[in-house]
Amino acid sequence: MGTAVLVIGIGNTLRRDDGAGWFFAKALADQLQRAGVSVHLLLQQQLTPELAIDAAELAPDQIVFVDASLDVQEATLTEVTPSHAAPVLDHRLDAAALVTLMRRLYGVRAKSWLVQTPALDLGHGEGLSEKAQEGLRAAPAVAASLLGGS
Amino acid sequence: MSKTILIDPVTRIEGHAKITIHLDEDGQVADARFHVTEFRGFEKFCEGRSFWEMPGITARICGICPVSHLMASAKAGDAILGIHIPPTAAKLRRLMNWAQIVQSHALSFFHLSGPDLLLGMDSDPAKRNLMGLVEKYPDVARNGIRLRRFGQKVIEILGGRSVHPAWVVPGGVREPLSDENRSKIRRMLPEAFDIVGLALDMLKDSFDHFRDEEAMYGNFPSLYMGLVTPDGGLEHYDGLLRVVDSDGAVLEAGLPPARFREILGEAVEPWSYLKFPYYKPAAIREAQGGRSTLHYPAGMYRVGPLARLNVCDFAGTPRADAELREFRRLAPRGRPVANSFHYHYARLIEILYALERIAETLDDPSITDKRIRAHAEVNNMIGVGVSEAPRGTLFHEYHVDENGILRKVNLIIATGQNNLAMNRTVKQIAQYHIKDGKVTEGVLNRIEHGIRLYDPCLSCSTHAVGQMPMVVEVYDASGMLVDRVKRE
Repeated sequence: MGTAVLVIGIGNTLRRDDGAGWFFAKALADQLQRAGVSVHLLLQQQLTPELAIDAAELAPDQIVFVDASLDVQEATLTEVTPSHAAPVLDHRLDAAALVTLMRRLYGVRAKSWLVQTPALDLGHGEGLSEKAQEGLRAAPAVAASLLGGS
Repeated sequence: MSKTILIDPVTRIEGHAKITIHLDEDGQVADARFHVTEFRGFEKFCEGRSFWEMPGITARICGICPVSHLMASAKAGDAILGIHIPPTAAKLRRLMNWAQIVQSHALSFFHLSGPDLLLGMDSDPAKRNLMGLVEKYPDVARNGIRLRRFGQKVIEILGGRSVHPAWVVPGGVREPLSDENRSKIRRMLPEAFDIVGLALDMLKDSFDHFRDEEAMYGNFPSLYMGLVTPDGGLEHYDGLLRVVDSDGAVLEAGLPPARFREILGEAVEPWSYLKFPYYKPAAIREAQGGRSTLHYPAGMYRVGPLARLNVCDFAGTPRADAELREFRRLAPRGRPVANSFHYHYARLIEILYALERIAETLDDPSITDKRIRAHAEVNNMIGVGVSEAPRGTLFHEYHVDENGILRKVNLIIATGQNNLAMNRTVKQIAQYHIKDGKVTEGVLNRIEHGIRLYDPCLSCSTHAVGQMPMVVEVYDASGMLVDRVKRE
């Protein structure tokens, strides 16, 4: 049986709440596995082009990117659509650009989602702020949404 | 009326930076500055931690070149322990370092600079990016991804994971290489060789289209620094520091890297958080009365692929040496290749070299030996670790107490060492293209490309927060904004 869901956590656990993407991704993967879903979890400091090959080889039904964000007050789940506009490309890609690479170069058609979990403090250090910890509690609800196909 | 043109930030480089171009009264470019506006502060963060933790911590400075920090950090740890690591451990570290060179250079060449080279400097900036490359040259984009993935896979096979592998430690490495994993890496090599061969052909075919760029993109005299083997060969992991000047004269033939303080100074500027390292013997001059005076920015030097190929006598592998001979024909006999445009070519030669070295090392029967780690306690209070990161020489200097707790940390990163040269490059491009204060999209494209030649990785020295569009602002002498161009 192939991977049903590819979960990609993005962040740096030495930059406090920036690590929330990893923690949320782990919690989400755990929830999905408990529900009997085949999950492949990848934890990345940033998104890079070769992840498109991973996605092509794993051939998941869904891909879920999980990242911390200063711009949200609670965890949000939004569909990622391929970006045909030019991404501002550093050494990293954003989720929309990576999905574009996956589709155009490798024919990956998995429905893709972006979970943004709240962050407050991106300073040096380990451990999450209260706000970021609070955001992690949404993992079961996000898992339920994904299982419900919404 | 004098004006300042502000370009903020440069796209497609790691981190957040901006460029200001200062015009004189006649509207001609008088100066240019590449600003780094955010501070990372990893050095302070590390104080109070054990040096044993440092490879794992410093590897998280950067998601692109974590292996470089692993290497330099572990080597600083080796120096604190006062040990020589087992030979197989050194070979395994080299394997991982070469894999890092391959993956990082592949990203730089195919995905960051490839759009400029294949789609053209004057092409629509909305399409002169990776997506434009995917649209028009999907096979090139795929090749870049495959080559980068090769490097990442080797790192993953050796270290257990491709991002932040905790496999390199003070004293050696944690796990030996199995026969099975050696075979896995071997099987991936032919495709990687094919891709770099195609890339070399593609780049050399493009030279005729970029004669202006070749002449104007960082084509100035400077010093060059890099590691070499004791007999003068290309080196990325260990060896001796060599410095040559713009005539090819050797200023430092082989300084032990731990003595880098004897030749390198670091200046700071109020307008940038990035330090400005310089070569001290060229910047500090004796004045009357026996006093020394600092003549910085004299002492500007370049590091990275171009510099490494300029300082070495030979590469040491057949195909890379053949390419190196061709590369050297780009400059007058005996002189370094001074044009930063040829960082691209140097990167591809280094990929080829790294692949040859990986193949050769895998054939070494001792590569699967199980003796891979030396054990000791703290024996030295200061440890310096130096290696060649994809972008240039990387220094980690640790001061510890008797328990190995860090009291002081200093990191000198490649991007910082190229800082003066990047500024000079931007100025040269701006002076060539900006006439009467007129800035066009084509000029901005070229200035951006000038910075990307060095493939700066500002997250090693700064913290990247988000991504922003590029803004160009023109101010007159009184500080009035007279023009503003924004690129989404």
